Amino acid sequence: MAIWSLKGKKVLIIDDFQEMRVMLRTMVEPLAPEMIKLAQNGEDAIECLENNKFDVVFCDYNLGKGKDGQQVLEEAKHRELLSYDSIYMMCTAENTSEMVMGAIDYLPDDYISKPFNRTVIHARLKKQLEKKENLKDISKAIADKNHKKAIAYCDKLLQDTPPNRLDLLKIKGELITTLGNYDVAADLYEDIIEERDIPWAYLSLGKVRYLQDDFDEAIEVFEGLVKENSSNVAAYDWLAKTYEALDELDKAQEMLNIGVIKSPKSLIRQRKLAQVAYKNEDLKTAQSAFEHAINVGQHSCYKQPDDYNGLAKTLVDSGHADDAFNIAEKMAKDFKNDSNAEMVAAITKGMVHTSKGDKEAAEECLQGAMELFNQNPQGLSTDIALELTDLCLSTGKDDDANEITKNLVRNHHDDKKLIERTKKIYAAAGKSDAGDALIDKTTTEIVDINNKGAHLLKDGKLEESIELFMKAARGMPDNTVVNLNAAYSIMMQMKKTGKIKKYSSRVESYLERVHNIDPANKKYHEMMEMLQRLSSANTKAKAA
Amino acid sequence: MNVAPEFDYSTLIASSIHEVKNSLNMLLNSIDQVVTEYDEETCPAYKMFSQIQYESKRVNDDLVELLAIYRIRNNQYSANIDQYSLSDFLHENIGQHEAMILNRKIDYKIECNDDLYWFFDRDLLTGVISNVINNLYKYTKDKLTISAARDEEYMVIKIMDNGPGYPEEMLISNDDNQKSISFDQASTGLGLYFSRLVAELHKNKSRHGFIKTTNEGINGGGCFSIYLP
Repeated sequence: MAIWSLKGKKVLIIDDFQEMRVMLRTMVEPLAPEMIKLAQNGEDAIECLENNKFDVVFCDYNLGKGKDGQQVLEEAKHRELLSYDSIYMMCTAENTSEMVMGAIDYLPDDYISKPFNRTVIHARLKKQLEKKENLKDISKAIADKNHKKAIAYCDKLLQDTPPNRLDLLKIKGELITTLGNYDVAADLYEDIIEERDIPWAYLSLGKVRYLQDDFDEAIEVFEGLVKENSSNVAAYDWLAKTYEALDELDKAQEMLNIGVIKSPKSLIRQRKLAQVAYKNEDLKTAQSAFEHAINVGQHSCYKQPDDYNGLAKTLVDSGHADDAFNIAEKMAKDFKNDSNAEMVAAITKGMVHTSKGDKEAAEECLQGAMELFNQNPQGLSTDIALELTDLCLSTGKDDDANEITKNLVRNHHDDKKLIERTKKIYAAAGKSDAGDALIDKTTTEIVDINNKGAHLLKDGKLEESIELFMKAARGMPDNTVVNLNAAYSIMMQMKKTGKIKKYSSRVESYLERVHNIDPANKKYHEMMEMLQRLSSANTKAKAA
Repeated sequence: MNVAPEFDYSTLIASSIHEVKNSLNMLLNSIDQVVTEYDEETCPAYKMFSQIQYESKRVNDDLVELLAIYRIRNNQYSANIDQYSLSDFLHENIGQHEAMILNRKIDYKIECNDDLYWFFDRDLLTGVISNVINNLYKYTKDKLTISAARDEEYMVIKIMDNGPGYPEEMLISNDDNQKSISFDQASTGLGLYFSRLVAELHKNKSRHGFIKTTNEGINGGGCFSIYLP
């Protein structure tokens, strides 16, 4: 009998084989967990995860039809159904390397290869529990988005040069990179490489070079990795990303092609290949990759109506308008009760009708799309919004086009590339002057609001400034500058009045928006830190 | 007969192996249970069960090896090299063989410092060790020692027994890593071929891993070593 136990912990076992589920339960039972639940497929598993906070999850990678083990993990983490201190064990009959290649955002805590017996399961579980306990403070700080504190905890543990030193350095490197201190991160990775050839250290170094806009250096690092190991798919992904940044789309496509052949199950990779191939006017590749993206994404939380739209566009361009129309219909079926998908479907149908010269049908679809747009203007991705603008302009619905453009500019006035693309669409429709005037006017409006707010702040008129920015942020929730200003002015108020608790969640939600739009935003981290300083000063004041 | 143009042999293999391994997993666990819960007195067919246990473990390990070799040779295998505690790793590997070792009354020893950590692909190395141990059952008298230690720029895992030792044609020294491996004794040959492939997949600062087989085991028994940079 084991000395340690799973007392008070909840365990979820996910496997499509009944015998396997029962066997795993028999193995875990002696550890006396509070609850053991069994799920036979990914959908069941998600339901269980919605209803309970599990501490330990055993999940088979291959779950038959529906979601696979990686997709369950991604959805659970993405929707925050699993807490930071839970343990996710991926069981697999095959080799683990395939899964590692597919996964990008979230990795399980451990892989266990079949066949396994009780001794192995217990040993691995114990190891993971110890690891979580060891990293508890760091994980908590990361979950609280307090990166500086997390780094301090890393350093504290690193002082005694523990055996898991490299794990800690890996976490520390990621944290430093998140904070945007690229030079420091690069030094850290170079020191590790000096010691030993570790593929993840090279990969992370390459990423940092990319983030520093040092694309040649990044390519050299990634090339070195694939030369050493031609199956390093993550390195191909980053090569593609770097070539894309350099506007060398042919090379980007070449890299994505290699990645897709070696590991076809990644939705994100197939989507990227499709988009790049479409830009390269390689319709055959674009079609196949969009189709794959839709297929592998069927059960993924990352599936998007945009992929269907992309496939439909590709089909129209290659002269298969009827097939394109079917894709739009399929989209409506694949996304039930999703008004955003409904809107994209209407736009897609409008696009197909326009290509066939059926103006009347096109207008009807676009009118439907516009109604949905007016109900929820923030739902559209920028790509689809541009497409809708284009369609409206070409069917003479200039007012609608202007509405969409205004909304787009309001939310992204500092995104130069997007503004350029919008201007091009107006130019292509022969409405260059009208487009430029609209964009300039909208941009000026936003700049004026920001300036006015800044003046109010300077004059100490905090309440007026808060009101102004909060109203602005309601109208343009995706505008990073406005959200940052709203957060900042509230924090000034907090500082002045000492009322911290009351407002801090509001500040957090503005900052959260910024982080979601632009994870590398430097101001975000500065303000997060400011908020944390205010909160801890408040706690200390109260304690005293 | 025409094969459909979309026919993808490796996907077929992978999905079949998934099925087969699931079944084997069930089989192995049931047999492990029988063999641990009963003995020769309580179960008349005990000897037979233990034979079934041995053979199914081998089928499983050979399957794992064949698939890994197929993938490595086709450049489809991306080594997943991470840092692990050798003590944990060796205990876990012996743990996998627990039932067999008890059943065959083998006296085993694990020699390893608790603070020894090294870099390797855990799955591949588990395959190597499992194969060596499977073969060792056939030859050892009653002893098994598995050890891990640093040897200059390498970490070496040694598996030793007190049997009659390797035959001449199976001896591999450090300088003849190019020497072709004899497949006369198919299972041992496949295992050594696989082990060498795995060793070579481990690289660091222009150094590659390698394997050695000698008869410097316990009382002149076999000794298998894998060196990883």
